[in-house]
Amino acid sequence: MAKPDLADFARADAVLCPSRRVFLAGATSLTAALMMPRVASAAGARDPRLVVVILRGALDGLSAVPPIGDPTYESLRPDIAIKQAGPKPALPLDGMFALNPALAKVHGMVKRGEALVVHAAATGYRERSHFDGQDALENGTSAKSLDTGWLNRAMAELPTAGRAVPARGLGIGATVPLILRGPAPVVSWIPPKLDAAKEDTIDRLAALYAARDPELSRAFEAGVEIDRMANAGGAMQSATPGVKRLQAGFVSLAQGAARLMASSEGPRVAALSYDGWDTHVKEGSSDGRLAGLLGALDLALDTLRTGLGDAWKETAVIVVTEFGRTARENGADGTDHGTGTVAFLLGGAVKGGRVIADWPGLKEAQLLDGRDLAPTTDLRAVLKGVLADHLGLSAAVLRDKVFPGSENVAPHAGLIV
Amino acid sequence: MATDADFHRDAGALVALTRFGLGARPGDMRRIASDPRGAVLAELTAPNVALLPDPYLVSAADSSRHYQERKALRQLLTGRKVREKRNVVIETMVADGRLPKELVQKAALLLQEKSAKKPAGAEAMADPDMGGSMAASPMAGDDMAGDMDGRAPGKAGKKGKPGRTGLDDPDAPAIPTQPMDDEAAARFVRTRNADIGFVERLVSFWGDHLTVSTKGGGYIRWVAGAYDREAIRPHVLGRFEDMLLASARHSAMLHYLDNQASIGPNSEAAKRNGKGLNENYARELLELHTVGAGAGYTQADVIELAKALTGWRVEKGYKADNLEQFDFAPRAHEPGERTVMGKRYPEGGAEQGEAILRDLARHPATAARLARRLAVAFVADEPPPALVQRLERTFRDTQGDLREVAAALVSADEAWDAPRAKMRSPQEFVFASIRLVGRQPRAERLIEALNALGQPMWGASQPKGYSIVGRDWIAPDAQTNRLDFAVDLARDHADDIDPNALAEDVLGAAMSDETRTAVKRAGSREQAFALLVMSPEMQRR
Repeated sequence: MAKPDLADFARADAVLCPSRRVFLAGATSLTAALMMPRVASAAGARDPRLVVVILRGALDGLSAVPPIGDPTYESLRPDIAIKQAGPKPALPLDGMFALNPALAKVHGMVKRGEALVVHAAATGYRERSHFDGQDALENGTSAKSLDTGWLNRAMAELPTAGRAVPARGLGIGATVPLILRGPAPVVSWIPPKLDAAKEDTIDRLAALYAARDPELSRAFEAGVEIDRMANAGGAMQSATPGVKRLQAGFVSLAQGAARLMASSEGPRVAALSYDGWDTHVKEGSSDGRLAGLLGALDLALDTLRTGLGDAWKETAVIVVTEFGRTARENGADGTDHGTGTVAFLLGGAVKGGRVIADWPGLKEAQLLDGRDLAPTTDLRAVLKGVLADHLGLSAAVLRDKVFPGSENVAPHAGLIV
Repeated sequence: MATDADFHRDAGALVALTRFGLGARPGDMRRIASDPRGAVLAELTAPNVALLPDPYLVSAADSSRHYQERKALRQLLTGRKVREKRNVVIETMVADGRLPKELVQKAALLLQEKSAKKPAGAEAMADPDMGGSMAASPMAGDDMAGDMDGRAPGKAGKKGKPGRTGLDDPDAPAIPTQPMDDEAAARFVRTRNADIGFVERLVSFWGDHLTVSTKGGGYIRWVAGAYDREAIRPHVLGRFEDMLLASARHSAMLHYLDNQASIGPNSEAAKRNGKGLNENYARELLELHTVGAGAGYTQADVIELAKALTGWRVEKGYKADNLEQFDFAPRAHEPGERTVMGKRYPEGGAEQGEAILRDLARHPATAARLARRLAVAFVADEPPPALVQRLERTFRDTQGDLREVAAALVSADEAWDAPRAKMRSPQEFVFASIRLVGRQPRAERLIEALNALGQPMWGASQPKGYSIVGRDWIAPDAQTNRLDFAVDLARDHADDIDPNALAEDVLGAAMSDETRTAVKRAGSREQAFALLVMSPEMQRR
């Protein structure tokens, strides 16, 4: 078996990214750890792939996977609850839960037994700062200071027997997200553009200028308008150009990950980030911004499935976010920072077709601090379960090295086929 | 919560760092909080603070030699017929042992083969390496201008890559590269290292006032950075008239405003080749560099000044010891006495022009004009008249001692009391932004950003330099382009940054509640950092 040629990485980069426009790039990123494939002598052994998708900004789990069977749900969210009937009805999973109508392809995967939902989940972090929350999600503890990621530490603990030796000192692209920082070597790849984050930043900056600086506000609004017209030029489809661009951004990242990981010599572990989930204002759960984001995510996850081809059978994809949002909608048709939310597990290696939830309920007294969906599943249990059964890490390693301080969080068994 | 006392202390430090300096880095506000004005003034007396020694930067003279060698080598290595003057370069390089003789012979053979294969005149077409980007250069006879228009650092002629020719020879000497990227990179490093950066801002101001621009052609790209280091920086805290003279004698300026090509109509040189006067430099000297339009000079004064400056030129011979160094040429100098703005200057050589330039530099109209420009550039688009008067008086009283003028600016209360409303220019914005991050951003990124934002290093489109009026930089696409830069910078650097702490650190109590909230509520570190960089407090100073 030939040694993995790292030049392939550079080539893949060039192929995937023919028109890389550094200047307009943003925060969405893909990073792959160089956990190498099993070598040929281990033929017949599994060659598992793991993809972690981080949704930055805090996904509203109650809009992504609405608890339609909970009698309190619609009353908490008169304007943004996902309806069971109407032009865009929820996609039912069981009597209690349904999927957001924008997640049609994920719905198909659940029905085929290739995907599952974990609801009312949260990391060990209990404050409501995005930055600290994302740090906790990525470093796998509730300590802010730990500057390596759980996924990297998991890589570093994998037995190297039977695997090509990973090369060291590689770095392509700009920066590595915390989840993949640490002793194991990683590379990163930046896609041509990331409109999701940009659109949201534009909105926020426009609001700041409107409040503080009328002169800059006028100039900026006019500039944004010009950009939108320029981008809309030629695209006469019914879908708004914003949605098209959003989808293209998400999908190109998933395509990149799938292509690299499907290759016999490519990396086996990757982390993707999608930004823009912080829906404080005009959430648009079924036909606005969040629906657009979920639709793009739906397409991206399906792109992973199709792009990985045969390797999908050996793949597990974990979709996580730093925390959830308030159970009640706020005064601006949005939701504020909360706690419990959803995670998704997808892939041919996943024992899917179900929702895993110890449902806490949505009544006032059942909410955490009277406002958030109470977390009943520790996200680390899910992550530990996947790392144990999919990648073969021992309980001791998971407890001591990968998720220090998680003695009381047992790996969730039975998630992997 | 911020108290009034916090606010005043922070506001003083913020003005020191942003109005006079390059922008606050983490920790800077605290460092100078006890005496912001003293900290700014102290920078003016720090030893050698205006100089930029850097082992990777070369002098204008060396760059000029490289420029000529590059032209000759490219021609040789791409198998074209080496032009007459460049043969001198090739011969010298062979004689010095820097160019193997065999290589030159191979080149000659290749050229024979080529001309045997195709009709004459087709050779340029058949040479893809010299076409393409090179063809974009409008400069006639300047066939290597295209490799760096600052836009996409093409690196077309990087070492060891002679191009698709029969001469991809391992023994071929490296083609000298144009130093613009290195010059810019050194500036960017200094930008982050400067304690406050008042002197660097002064360097930008004076370099822009006496601008030379890469838009003036390929050669300027090789020496614009050196011009700043050789003509501007040594005098930024010295006398204006010395700076003006250093500029007038520098190869970059002599080429940029064409004085090199100006010949006295009655000089010896004119009698031989019939060429004549070029008024370009003389006009800009009066209109832009010194007294300014409206000071009462006429077209006759322009011509008289141009005549006085004939013979001010650089030696261009490749083999000369003083290549591209100032070398007054008596045979090109217009004989006779001159009268400029009512004053008569007796017949003479270079000292005639020098006397006029010194008088122009000391002219009251010059003092008034520079005082106003300084106040506009540093303080406000409509500066307080009292401040302008104070600077004008200092300029006149000290015969243009620029350190004294700079100190007067910082000492004036009007300069501190003006509202923080002046829009940052793109360079000021980019420089302030990179002072927020933990690592030196890649120079190519910054060069690219400054291009997109319309203020490339040494790239003014006209001799008057870039606008010093902040308002002029407010435009729809300008603001969205700034956001692109901010988002890009955030992606590379926000990971190591706590945006809330950084915002408090560099803006302190001067931060608005709206900005604080926007940063705090951002959906990611990247977004928080981008919003901080784009906040009104960072856009204005």
